[in-house]
Amino acid sequence: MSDDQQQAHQNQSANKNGNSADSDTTHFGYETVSTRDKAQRVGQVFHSVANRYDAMNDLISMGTHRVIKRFTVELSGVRAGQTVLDLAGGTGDFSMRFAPLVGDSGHVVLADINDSMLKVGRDRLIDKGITGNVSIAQVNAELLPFANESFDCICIAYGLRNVTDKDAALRSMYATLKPGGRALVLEFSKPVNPLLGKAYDAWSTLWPVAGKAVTGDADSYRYLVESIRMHPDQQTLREMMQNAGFRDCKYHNLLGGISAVHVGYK
Amino acid sequence: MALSLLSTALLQPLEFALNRLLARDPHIIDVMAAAGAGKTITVICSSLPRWQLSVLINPDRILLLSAPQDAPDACLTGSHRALTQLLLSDDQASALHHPDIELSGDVQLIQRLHRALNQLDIDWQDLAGPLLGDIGANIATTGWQHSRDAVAQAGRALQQNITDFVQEEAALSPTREEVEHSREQLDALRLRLDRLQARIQGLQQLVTN
Repeated sequence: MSDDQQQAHQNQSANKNGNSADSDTTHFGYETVSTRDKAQRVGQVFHSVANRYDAMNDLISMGTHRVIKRFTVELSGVRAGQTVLDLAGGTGDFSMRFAPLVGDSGHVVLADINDSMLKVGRDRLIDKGITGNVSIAQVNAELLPFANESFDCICIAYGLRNVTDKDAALRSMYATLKPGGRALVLEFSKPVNPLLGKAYDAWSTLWPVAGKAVTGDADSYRYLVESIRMHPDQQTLREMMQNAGFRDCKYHNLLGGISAVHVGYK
Repeated sequence: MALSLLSTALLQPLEFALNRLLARDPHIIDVMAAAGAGKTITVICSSLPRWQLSVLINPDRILLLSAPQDAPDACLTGSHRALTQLLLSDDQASALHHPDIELSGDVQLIQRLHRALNQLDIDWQDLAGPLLGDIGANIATTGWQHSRDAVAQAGRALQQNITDFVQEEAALSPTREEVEHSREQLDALRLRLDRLQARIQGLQQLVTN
């Protein structure tokens, strides 16, 4: 582990939810940056990879992300007539799955802070003929511009890691969720088996190389690897959700903890 | 959880194939939707290897869910054998009342759906035709019928062989006829004892008077 990585891990230990001890700074991968800069730098990452984002997902997850997403949607318990917020929904994978579930009487909002990702998501939805019950909104997860108690289900998949103030995002999600509603946080996490962890670490070191080959951008995938390492583990994220107000919080480890989906209720 | 993801992956093509089949005959899905649109039924196999899946009935398709559902509308629990009978038995009326089958939640939903499916006269060969081709569908449906009959025949033969061995060769248990004969003898003996007891009571009363 490099000095930068050690320093970053020490910072993470000091404040387990991923924000730096100094409230004006936060992590961008292993770097410590000002909170004002993080959103902009994360934005650059996704602007850069938006067009090849899905292809890279298939490559680095070896296709397993499709099964993981299906499993997460099954956990959501979304039914016809409900309203769903697909937060950090990017290229629209989840919205495509939620839209048939809520039916014509329900509604899905595909929301992301990054307009490049939203454009790709919008085009994919239109290409698949999913238009009637889906809206698209460019939003900041920390300050959701929706009325309180608007959604039956809020799902943020592989997005919370990139949010500057995760606690604020969770509080905002809680506020906009209807009483009895369900929030799902799907995110990379910590493998429970050390051997699997080492194999996964070795595999993920190849991602920047693959990113360079497919998207022409190695730095974005270097950030991805680093941001995964800096993201809170399963237990810490569950505590963060509880602190935001969610009740009955639990998580399901997926692929031995490489990913985990947290579920909490309002 | 690895198993959950595996079953999620396995259910996906199954759900796709099922809905392709159902799309060939929209009447089936209409009947199912009329019986329980928007409802979720969880099926739990209680015998090893244990598994569970949930079926969500949408107006236009069926969803097979492997993830645990917090509040299914109804739950059907049973052994492999009971669930297989429920699916394949010719006597559908009694299959739902198998001793190993347990219903909970909205039981009427399960009964309604079961009744609706029984009333459908599904031509599986016709449904499978576009997927497998006419010859393939014929081979698949007749092969399925033959193997089902063969399994049923093998089951009956195995049961008969075990019965013969236990009763005739090992003499570990009596035959049905022997049991019936012994029971008749016991009944006759009980009757004679009752009569004897009644005569004794009568004699006692005479002596007392």
